[in-house]
Amino acid sequence: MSLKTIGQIKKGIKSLKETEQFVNSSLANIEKIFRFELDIKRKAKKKIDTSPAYSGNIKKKIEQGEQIADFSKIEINRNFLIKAFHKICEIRKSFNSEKEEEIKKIEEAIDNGKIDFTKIQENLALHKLSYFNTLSKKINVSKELLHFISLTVYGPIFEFCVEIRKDLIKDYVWKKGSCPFCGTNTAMAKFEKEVGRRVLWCPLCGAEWVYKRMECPFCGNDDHELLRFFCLDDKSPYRVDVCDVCKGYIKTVDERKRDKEEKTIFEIEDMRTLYLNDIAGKEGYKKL
Amino acid sequence: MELSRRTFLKISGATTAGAILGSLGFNLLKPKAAYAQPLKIKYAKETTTICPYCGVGCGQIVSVKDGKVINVEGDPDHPINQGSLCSKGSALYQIANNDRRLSKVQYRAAYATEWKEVSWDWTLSKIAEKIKTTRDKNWVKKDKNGNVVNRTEAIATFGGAALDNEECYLYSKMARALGLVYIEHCARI
Repeated sequence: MSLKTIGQIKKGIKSLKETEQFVNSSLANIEKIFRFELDIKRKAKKKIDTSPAYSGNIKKKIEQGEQIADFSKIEINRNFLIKAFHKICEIRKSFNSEKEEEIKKIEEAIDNGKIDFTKIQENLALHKLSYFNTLSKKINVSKELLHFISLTVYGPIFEFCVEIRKDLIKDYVWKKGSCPFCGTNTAMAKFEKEVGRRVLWCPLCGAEWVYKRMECPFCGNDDHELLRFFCLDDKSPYRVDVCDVCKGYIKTVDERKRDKEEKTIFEIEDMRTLYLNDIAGKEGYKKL
Repeated sequence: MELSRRTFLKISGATTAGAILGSLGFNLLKPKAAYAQPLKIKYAKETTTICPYCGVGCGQIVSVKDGKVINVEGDPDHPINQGSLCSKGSALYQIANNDRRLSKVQYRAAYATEWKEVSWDWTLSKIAEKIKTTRDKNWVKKDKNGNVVNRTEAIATFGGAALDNEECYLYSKMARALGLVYIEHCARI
């Protein structure tokens, strides 16, 4: 489930504050980002056409283990994109003055047509970075900032694209740890409330899909001796599952250890548990 | 910090907190995150198994840490039960961890009022002795019509739900070899 209302955003920010990981002023900035993304999703309905992203025989693609969506083919209103990019630049500038010069260069590049939105979309959808490398050098900004700005605009568009067609996969069994929609590796998992079924989450498009409990979603290892997990507190709903074959890890939320009414919103859970990323890294595991 | 195809520079999905967020100019995190990290991380393992009770054979996942069972739950990927467990299966954790579970044989002699602790060697010998005695005392060589039957009607067997087909076959063979005819099974599925 993703953030769908202002109420959920506020609740999410409050829960992030409780973790005491974040500087107080930064939580307001995170809230601005979340609100921006929600705004994009709400407007996406009228400004984008997702149907070109879903072509071909869906059933056949799933059976052959091919991703079913191609986000590079989503048609997006150009003016909408320009406004969105400007808006996120404004938001980012409001955080602090550190990157102000670079952000101005990005804004100028938008206005004078130096940014090819089609290529940005393609690079993000197909997990390529070539255009960001080229463009960042061309306009003299850091590629990380450029990537971040772009992903904050396109991420909610991709999520919208999946939300309206999420039922496409419900009648099929998807056996991979990579997203059935966009092919991105999963970033987090949950054990569902009733019987602890494992559901994986895509950090790019927000898709969720069922996956086997006793198998590494990155390399497919199902040897129980080489799959372990740790949690800092036996009562905590969070744990980290690791694989001693590929050395990958994935954070997991066990919904059965929470109040029944509490819903799992992965974006928030991922941020609530950033400390687990650090610990997993120190233990020798990496995000794949 | 190197950008890679797996780096997701959204606010969420950070690979490592400080590295990614810092490179974006986000000084979001407190200098030292306030979490209680133990000196040594203790890992647990999960293993799949089958419930030992009835013949349904529900799948379970057992979690073990430091050689001790810390959790037993239904296996959501098992085709038979898909994660659900009956009340007996759900309580299986207590087979491993409950100080009220008997760990020694208790014997109460006929007409006695107290239980006493006995050894397994003594117990198995006693069971064998009782089977032999009961069988010998109640042996029926011929039925009322004069047919040779060679049976005992004083012993019955109720089988065992955790027995598989091969074990049930051997078990019934043994029972018939002893002359039993009241051979039943508690699991009718």
